[in-house]
Amino acid sequence: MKIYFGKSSTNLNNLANHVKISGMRTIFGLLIIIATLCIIPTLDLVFASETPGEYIDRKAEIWNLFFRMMTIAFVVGGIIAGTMVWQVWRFRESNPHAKRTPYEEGEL
Amino acid sequence: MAHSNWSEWIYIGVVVALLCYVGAEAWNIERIIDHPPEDAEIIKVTAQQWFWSFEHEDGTKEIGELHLKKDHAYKFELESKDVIHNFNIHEYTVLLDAVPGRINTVWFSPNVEGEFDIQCREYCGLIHYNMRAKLFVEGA
Repeated sequence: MKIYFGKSSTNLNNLANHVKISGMRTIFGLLIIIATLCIIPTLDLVFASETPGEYIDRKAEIWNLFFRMMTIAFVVGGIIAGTMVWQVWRFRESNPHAKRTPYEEGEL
Repeated sequence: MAHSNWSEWIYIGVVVALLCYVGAEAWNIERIIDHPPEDAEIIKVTAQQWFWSFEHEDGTKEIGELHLKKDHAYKFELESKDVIHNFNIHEYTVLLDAVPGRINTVWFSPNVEGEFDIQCREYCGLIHYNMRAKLFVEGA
């Protein structure tokens, strides 16, 4: 019998090691992406020229931001909703690939 | 627990990256919009039930109408004499509360000549619906 989320320190150690090995690279990758996304707009702002007489078009800036935000919102919504639909489809009881969990087998 | 979780990390990464982009971009645009140019002319805007009055830097005062030059930057200093009002020039996406006891600022640069509506966007009493003014943008 296997205990997946019990109090066994061995299992927790295995889990921790696994996360360390496979997760650290991903975390570094993510940090680079996040840093880039934050740093580039800041640099743009710092080096932006402020020539008298050439002002930003407030209306265009605000509406462009709105459309970009809406695009992102729909993409994030799509990802989350799509994942939920996929999970319901993949893990339904009638799926030929479905495996009974240890809980359903009465082992836990 | 021996199972691969790389797909979960990618999932989390994509969503977190998108949200970071949203935050960074909104912060950036907000900073640009909130930062008035140094040569912006200051216009004092006073809101009271139920009309708008304007005072230019040279002391010129206007009530119910405002004359501005195209392609000049203007910084509005808003104050209210009685209740909370809201200064809105719809055509130029200018929108800011006028609160009694404090001065709020907003800036913009009109880039189209013409006649535009200024109106109160915060319910401020009986004649709120008619608390309007006219913005005239004239050639430089």
